[in-house]
Formats: sequence, C-alpha cells, structure tokens
Amino acid sequence: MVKIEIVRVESTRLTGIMA
Amino acid sequence: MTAFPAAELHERAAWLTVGFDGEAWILGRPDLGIFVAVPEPGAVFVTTLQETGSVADAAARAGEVAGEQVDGDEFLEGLAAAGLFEEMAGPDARGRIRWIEGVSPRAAARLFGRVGWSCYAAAVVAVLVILATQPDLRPSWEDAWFLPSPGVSLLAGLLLTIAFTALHEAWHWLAGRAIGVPAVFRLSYRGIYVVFETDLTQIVAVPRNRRHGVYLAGTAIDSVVLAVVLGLRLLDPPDVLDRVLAAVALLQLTRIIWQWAALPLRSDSYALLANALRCHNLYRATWLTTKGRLLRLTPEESDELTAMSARDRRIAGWFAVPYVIGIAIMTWMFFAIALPLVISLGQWAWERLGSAALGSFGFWEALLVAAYAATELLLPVALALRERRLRRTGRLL
Repeated sequence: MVKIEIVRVESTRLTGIMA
Repeated sequence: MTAFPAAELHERAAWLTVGFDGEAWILGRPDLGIFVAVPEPGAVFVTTLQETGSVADAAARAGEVAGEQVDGDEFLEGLAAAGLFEEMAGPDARGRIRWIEGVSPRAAARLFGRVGWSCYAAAVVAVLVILATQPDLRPSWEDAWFLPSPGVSLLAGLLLTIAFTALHEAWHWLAGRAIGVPAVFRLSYRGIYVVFETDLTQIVAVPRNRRHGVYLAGTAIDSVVLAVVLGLRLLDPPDVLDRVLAAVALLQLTRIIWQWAALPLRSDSYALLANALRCHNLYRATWLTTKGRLLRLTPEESDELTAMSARDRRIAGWFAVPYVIGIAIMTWMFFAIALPLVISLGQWAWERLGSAALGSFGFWEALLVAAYAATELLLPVALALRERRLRRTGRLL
C-alpha cells in the first residue's frame, strides 16, 4: 500500500497605506 | 474510514476543484480558500470519486496510475483533515468592488499583452535613466513636505498614499481577471502596517508560468506612474505642481523598493519568487527551518515541517538569506526616510506648540502632528513589547 502525499498550499494575498 | 456515509461523501467530493499547476495537481475549495497539492494518483482518485461515488473504484483507478495499490481511506482522511470536506461557506460577505467585476477578462487581458508589458518595461528603463542622469530629481525624505505646512502635507500625503495604493492593488486585480482568477479585496495589516489586501488565492489552480504577471502588475503600474511623474518634472512645471510631483515620486519609489525588500512580510516579490521556485508554502517552511536552527522546534512544528514538500524544505534552507537582505534594506529605508521625517515633524510641532495661541488653528494642527509623530515612533515599540509579553506567556510563537 502506498500513501498519497498531501501538501498544503499557502494563500496568495498581495498587499500595499505614510512615512 | 471517514465519518461520511457514501452518498454524502459523493456529494461533498463534488465541491472540490481539481487543477494542474504544471507539475502537481491542486485540489481545492475555492469558497473556503483551502488548497492542497497532490501527485497525479490523488487527482485521479478525486475525479473518479466525483464520477462514481465509490471509494473502491477511486482507489483502484488511482492505483493504476501509481503503479501500485494506494491507501484510499488514509488519503480521504488527509483531505478531511485539511478541511476540504467542511460545510459550504455562506455567500461571501467580504468586500467586493463592482467596477472591476464589470471589466471583462478579455478587456483586462489587453493591459497585460505584449504591448502592455512593453510599456511597463519602457517605464522601468525611463525611471532608471532619469534617476541615473538627473541627481536633482532623485527623491529624498524632504520631498514629503510638499505643502506650506507639515500638518496639511501629512493629510494630503495620506490621501495620495491611499489613492496610489488602491491603483497598485487594482492592477493586481485586473491582472488576475485577465487570466480568469477572481479576487477579494479587503483592509488588513502586515506587522505594524495597515494595508490594502488583494486575495488571489485561487491563482494556485492556474499553471505556474501564467502567474508571474499577476505578481508583477502592481509594481508595473507604480513604475508607469513614477516614469510619468519624473518625465513631467523634466519639463520644469510651476512650483506647486513640481512639489506635488516630487512627493508622488518619493511615494512611488519607496513603494517599489519596499515591495522588493519586504520578503519576510510576504510582499509581491515573495509571491513571485515562491512561484518561480515552484514552492507551495515557502514562507512557513523558511520560518520553521530558521527557527529550528536558532532555537528548537516543538514536536508539532517538527511534524508540520516534515509534512511539507521536499522541495520547500530544500529551498527553505537558504531562503533566509534573501530575508536578511530584505530586512537590511527595510532598516535602511527606516533610517533614511521614516525616521528623519518623523523627527522633523516632531521638532516642527514642538516649536509651534510653544508659540501658537492656545486653541488657534496652528495650535491644533501642531498637536495633531505631534500625536502622529509620537504614534509613528511608539507604535512599533509598543507592538514589539506586546509580542514579547505574549511570547513569554506562551500565547505567541
């Protein structure tokens, strides 16, 4: 029996509001 | 065995999307924002389960692809543990802005075709040439005082910042739209900074080589604004306009440098590099690897690191180096721009408070500016102390 590996994928949150 | 009866499992399996990113298969729940990467047998297992509803069929078909028997029950438990079979999320209550939804993917794609990217590249070249050849047009922190009084400059600067940040995020959003990836827009924070955030998590189901433009789009439009502003300043505009343009140039240049330096805060460049290096969760892998070297990992953290892909773990071994370079650049920016700005604000306010009549406009303006300067200086310190306290009591890693 072989195990199917599951890898979590991180979220994609692009950010940008003085000095 | 999973906790679901067969009929319910069949129904819940239908909620999953299956995509191919170029080397791994991505199973996801777009409504929950949860995605996992699996090898081909995992994708075959799920698509078969969606077709037939039979776990035995699914395991058999996946086994044919894998070349040996696969453990279907264990795989299902793993998917359930990742949260892929959770109840449907309600209608998305988070902010959506209509006008970009109204832009068709085809119209958006025109901004990111060959012509579009040629314009963005030309803007970058123009900026580099002007900054290299025109020393007096290079932004400095003094450019932030572009109106007669610091208080008014501060407020106007904040409005300019919000407007150009919205433009930057809108460009990410349009680039996502161009390749059919929907986005959610919200207000959030990174470290000590208040940020606009464009959540494009569904991009992970798109082939990796189609994603680069989405990550670069924000800096692309920033470069266009900067090139136009510097170009206008070359034409020697009237004094007031020139000062506004200088302030926008300072704002845009610091934003571009910031996006490349702020790797540890998961800036645009982090997303670009993590994708180019074909990682799934590089941020967390780097964090755990570095922590394991400097301190030690708890058993849970150690298990979490072991469960990551071999590639992520290998790259995390050296990815702390660009992190450190980024932190050095951010530190330089703090001392070259933020600190002199805040100190000069504080000095101005202090002098004004000493001379302005109590209750006059000048008095209130000075008080407001002093409060702003104190907040800018003390907020990071206060947050750092709070984090330290939380760490000591074990509520924060």
